Amino acid sequence: MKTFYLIVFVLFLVATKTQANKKDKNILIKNIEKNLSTYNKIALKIWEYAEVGFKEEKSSKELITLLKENGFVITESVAGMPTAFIAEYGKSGPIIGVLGEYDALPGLSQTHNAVKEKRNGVVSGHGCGHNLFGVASAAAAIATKNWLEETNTEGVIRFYGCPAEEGGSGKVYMVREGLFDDVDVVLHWHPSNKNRASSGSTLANKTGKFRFYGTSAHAASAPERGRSALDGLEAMNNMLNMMREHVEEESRIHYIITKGGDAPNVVPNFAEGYYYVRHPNPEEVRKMWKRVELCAEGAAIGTQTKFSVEVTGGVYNILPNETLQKIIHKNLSEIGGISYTEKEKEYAEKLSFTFGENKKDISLASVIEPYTFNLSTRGVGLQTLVMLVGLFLPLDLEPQLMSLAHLVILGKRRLVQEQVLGLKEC
Amino acid sequence: MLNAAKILALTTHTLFKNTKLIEEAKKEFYKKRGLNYNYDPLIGDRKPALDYRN
Repeated sequence: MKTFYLIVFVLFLVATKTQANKKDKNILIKNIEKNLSTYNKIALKIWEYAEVGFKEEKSSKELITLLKENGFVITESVAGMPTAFIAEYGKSGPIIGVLGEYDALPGLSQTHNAVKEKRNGVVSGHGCGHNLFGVASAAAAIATKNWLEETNTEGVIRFYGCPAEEGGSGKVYMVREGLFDDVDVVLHWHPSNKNRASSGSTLANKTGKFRFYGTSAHAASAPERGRSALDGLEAMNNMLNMMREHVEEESRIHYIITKGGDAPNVVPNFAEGYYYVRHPNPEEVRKMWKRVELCAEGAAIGTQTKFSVEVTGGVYNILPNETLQKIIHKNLSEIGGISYTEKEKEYAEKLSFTFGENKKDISLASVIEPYTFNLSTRGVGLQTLVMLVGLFLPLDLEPQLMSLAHLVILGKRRLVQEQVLGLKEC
Repeated sequence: MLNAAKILALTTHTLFKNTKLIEEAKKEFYKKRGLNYNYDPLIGDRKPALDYRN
């Protein structure tokens, strides 16, 4: 009989726990749904501000105001970046962080229309949905705070306002400053063309600008007096392009010329290139970067110019964490994919035609991909869907589109490790 | 956006209610990172490149 009572008691406990869990989840989900129109409006505003890395003044302000109004304590301008901030709620217990990004990309100006069309007077645009990224993460932090408060649960929820993700390495300065030292787990996500929490890595990268300085002269009447800075840059690029044959296969090197002179008939005294070097291993990136510097040095000697280099960014590759990925996968499966209204589908179809041969299947938005664990690295890989996401929002259509969940866990030793969230049979 | 917010919120809930999972995640993290790990930023000691988009 005692055993019977024990079993009944255990079952009762399990049932109570399940019910409590359900109640908790309801609190969280209802809080997000209740405030959805506010979130949509802010995401749309950030889309329209389209502020590039470290210039996200209005965008970060929107999120700061939102979090402040919801009872978070704000620390602005952290780690020497005016548009970086931290919002926190809670006094004790485990510390969980959520990352939010909000920077746009240069050269992606686009109207709300489903055809390629620039916005008047705007040169940048939200390419990969960072306007959604920051807001969704803030919404999750607010819902968590509300639940912690309502259920008197111990814990600290912290929102990290991370500027300049696109090439500016904003988070690295925050890590370097020790802002993640005390945190237990950090979560984030990223819009994508697939709903998945699968595991994978990325390429570490180092970026920077090489500047060449020469001597100006008239290119026709006194060319012998000139020493072209552009020659220096071009000589460097020639060597760099030859170097490609002698680097490890998974390496990626790319550049653009940002300054190359003002007029063809004037020997340019200044030229500048902007470079990216990538590899799965950050140590290999370091080695390649040194070789790129040698290319610049050789080019400067040969063209009788001078050069300088400014490193503007550098991030490590993602280190996947399956423990967390599986949790995310489970929750992703529970919430499910996205179903569009007829109006949204029509708009999405129009957009998908702009992808040409890479046309996307809109129905994929409702599918949750199975969990996989794959350590092979890829480039950034998220660009294809960017325009799709960015364009959705302005029509006030469901701005959620697809969610590639990423997750970040940060160590006490100043390391940002991101992991693509995975899901499995858990 | 709506789905992402919900998934993240459910995940903070899972972790706050099962702190053992936090410990497991950290254990995995430290193991994968390796012993005597020292983070050496690729950006070195420079200040934030606030004008990198100029």
